[in-house]
Amino acid sequence: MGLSRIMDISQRALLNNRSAIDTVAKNIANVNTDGYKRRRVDVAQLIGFGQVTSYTNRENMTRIRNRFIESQLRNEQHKLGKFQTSEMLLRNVESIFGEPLQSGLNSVMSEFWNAWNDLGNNPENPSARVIVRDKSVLLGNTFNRLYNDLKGLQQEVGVDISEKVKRVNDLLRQINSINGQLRKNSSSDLLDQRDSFVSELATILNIEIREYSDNDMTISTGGRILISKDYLGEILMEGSYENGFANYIFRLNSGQEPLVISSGELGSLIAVNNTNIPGFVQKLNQMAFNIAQYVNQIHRNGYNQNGVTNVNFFKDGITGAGDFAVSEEVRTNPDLIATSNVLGEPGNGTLAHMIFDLQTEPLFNNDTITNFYHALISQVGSQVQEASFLRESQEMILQNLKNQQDSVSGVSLDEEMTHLIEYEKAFQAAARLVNTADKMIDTLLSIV
Amino acid sequence: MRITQSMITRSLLQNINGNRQSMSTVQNTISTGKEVQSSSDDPVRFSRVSRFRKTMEQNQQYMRNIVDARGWVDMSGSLLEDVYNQILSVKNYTVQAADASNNESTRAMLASKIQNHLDEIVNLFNTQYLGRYLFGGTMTTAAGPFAIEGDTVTYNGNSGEVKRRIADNFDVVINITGQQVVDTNIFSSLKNLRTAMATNDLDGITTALSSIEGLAEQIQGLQSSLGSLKNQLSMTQNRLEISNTNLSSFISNEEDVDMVEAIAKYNAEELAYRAALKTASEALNLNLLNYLR
Repeated sequence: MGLSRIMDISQRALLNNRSAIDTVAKNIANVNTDGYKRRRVDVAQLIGFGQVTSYTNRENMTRIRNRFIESQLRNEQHKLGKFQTSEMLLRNVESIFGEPLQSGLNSVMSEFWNAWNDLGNNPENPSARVIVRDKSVLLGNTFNRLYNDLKGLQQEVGVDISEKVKRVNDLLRQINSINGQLRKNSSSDLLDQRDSFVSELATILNIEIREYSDNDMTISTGGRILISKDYLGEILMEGSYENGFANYIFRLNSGQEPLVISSGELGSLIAVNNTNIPGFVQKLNQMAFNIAQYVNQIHRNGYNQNGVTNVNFFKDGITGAGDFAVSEEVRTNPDLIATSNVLGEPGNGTLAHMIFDLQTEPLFNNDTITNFYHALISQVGSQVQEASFLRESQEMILQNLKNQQDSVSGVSLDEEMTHLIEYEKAFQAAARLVNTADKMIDTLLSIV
Repeated sequence: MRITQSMITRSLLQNINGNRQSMSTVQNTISTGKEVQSSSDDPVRFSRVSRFRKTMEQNQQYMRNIVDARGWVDMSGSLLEDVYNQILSVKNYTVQAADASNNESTRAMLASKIQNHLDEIVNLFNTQYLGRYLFGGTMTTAAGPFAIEGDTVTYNGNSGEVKRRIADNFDVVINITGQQVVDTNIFSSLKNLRTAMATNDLDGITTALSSIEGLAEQIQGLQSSLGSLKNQLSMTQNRLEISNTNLSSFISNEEDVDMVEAIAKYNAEELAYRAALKTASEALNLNLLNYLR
């Protein structure tokens, strides 16, 4: 074995340790990078007896990871996305209803009924009529406001949905192109990048992932493939309108059958858009429709001070909260408000009292209108509470999983420092080796 | 388990954020004094409170109705009292007229006094309260329900009941209709009396005397029915007031903050927050680098 051999080995050792220090540097540089998985240089047996069996290069690093935790993490991420979004949107709905504020429907309705009672007590009093008219107009405005605010919220949600769908399609394209590059050569950086795209995708919708040993990846949602070796899917969105409220359905470019997105941010947006908001609006409509219907029914049979009868108090043909309003003739002329159930008895307030009584009558499948509304508010509240509770526990779960992942893949500065010193010492030793070999060669040469 | 930088940062951030959040929640309950502010804070309690509030509001409406009803009943009562006094003076004149020592001209003079009383009584029965005739039933007429021509009184109102709702599905009738007044024969008795006096019909006057005495009793009867109605109204009002006091204490129980508890809790949260901040400042600085030279 010649002396030059020692030089050769030392040179490789120097290279080797430098690249290890490089890796340490990279790890330290990325200590706070989200989704970065720490690298480790594979130092295989560098020096064998008599020959070099392997040497390192930059790409001979391993990303330290735990696939099991990663797949668990992805399975939990979409739930957090779903609960977070649901909580935020439902809180919005709750604040639109604005209970128990003075401007909330509850207190506006109370004032409306009480105005009728006061009018019934003083049927001849023109100012009591004006108050009934004003409270009814306020009731109408409140119903309209709730309807329009819910509709506005739904439109915002619709915009969010189309943006999220666009983002999903973007991500799918990017992941697909990374897959293509990885097929040609493997790169830790590309793998990291793909991981972060996949992680974003997993927050937006529920996906199932299959990773193959050659780094290829298949992604599917709800049993439908989004990305595979030879297919890149695109989510298409179609909207239909019912009573002015949009309903969205989705499909893939590969087929006609609808794609069900049940979880993730997108899943929650879709559920709020297609189910929750229309559900609340439908209940409001039912309330508005019933109030208009029953009040009109009683009112038409009554007589005002001048014996005028068959007047609709609320607009004819009200379908719900959106078009709920006092009829134009009553609004402009409150004298038309009927109070008596008998012709020619201006002092008779029975009819107004009958309208007051509507609030305690079971107009909604054995429920009073007040209880019906209270149930609606409770429903909103408990949905918010549930989403908030689930979000909190989901945050804990994710926190835990991320900690587990970081425990394996995260960068520890202490550890890197230790490695740095370790490699530095080794580097020094290798340098010393070169030095020694050099001296030995000098010594040999001086003999000559 | 390896503990890495990002784990330390994450849990520090989460803890600090968590402390901040619970501090702000407690702070919010302290500053508003309410534990349940919206439905999502506690849907069950919120809906219970809403129901209590609704009942309270309704009770308040009933109490307003009772106040209104009492005004009406008090007014009717004092009018009947006046009518009763009128009847008493009529009775005195009648006794005077029945005295055989009095002559025809005295009786004619007394007859005109009776006419005056009759006018006055009709006036009383035509009294308005807050723009409505008390004894007109549900018929509102511009000139008042009773019209008088000479000594003949006609009633133009009806026997409609004026009601006030004072509890769930419970109404009270608060008016005495003109028809009830007519049914006491007050007007026909006075008319007969006046005629008898004017025509110097001693027998007629004697007959009228007994009917006038009966009349006083009938008016008293109407008064006492108003009295018991008044009783009922005040009893109901008391009951509603007690019910509302109870309801507001239920509501306060459900949604109000126990300040002592809340402040103690706030202090505990603040302590935890300070501790978390302290740990953060220490832990983030702790690192092998500090010891490598």
